[in-house]
Amino acid sequence: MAATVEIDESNGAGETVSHNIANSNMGSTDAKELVAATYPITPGNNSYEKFQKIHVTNMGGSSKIDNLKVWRTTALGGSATHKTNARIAGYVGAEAYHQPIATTSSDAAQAMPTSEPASANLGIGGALAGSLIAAGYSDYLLHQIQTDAGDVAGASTTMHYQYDETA
Amino acid sequence: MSHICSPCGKEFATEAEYLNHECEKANGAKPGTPEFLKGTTQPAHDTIAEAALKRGEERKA
Repeated sequence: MAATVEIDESNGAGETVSHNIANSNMGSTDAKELVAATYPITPGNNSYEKFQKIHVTNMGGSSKIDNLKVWRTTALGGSATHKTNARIAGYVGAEAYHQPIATTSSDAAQAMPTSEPASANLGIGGALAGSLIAAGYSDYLLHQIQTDAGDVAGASTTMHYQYDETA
Repeated sequence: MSHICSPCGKEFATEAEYLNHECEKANGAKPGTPEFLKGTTQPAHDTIAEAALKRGEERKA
């Protein structure tokens, strides 16, 4: 048996953790699995920040989970940008949770990679070299879509959350 | 902090309660089992796990 790993998302002021989310839809409300057509981002504005974690719920007999990588494939609509705290160099440690905001995130300041990073870009225990040897969580992945006034269409893209597992 | 099982929508006071519930959207499987993931968000769980193990073993070598 291998490890079981899910993606969790935190929302609200008091932090409600939704386990094993089905998608990472971004929009104009702070909610997991939102319907983008119902909560579109007005051109020139931002999505609400997403706070997500990679959650190892069971090691399944394996000894280690590490090398966490996060990236997005498929282009965004218009000239929108996708910002994150994930980075392969200069990682500033584990992000503290706050109620997600739709103003420009000061914590998500890096461009979301659009291909697999060469090395880990999301930490465990505040460090990119961190690992899990028992069930537990990654650091928060924080990300946000930022649009321009001329952006009139959204896009369907794919988020990738990758981990390595050592038996 | 409260915990919600996204597939079935049930809310729990603690993570332990979430992990111990039998999810109706996964034929009663509990989180932390492959059956839970296969029945909800990861039908390809076996393939995902196999690839993760392969990467881990390659880096260990």
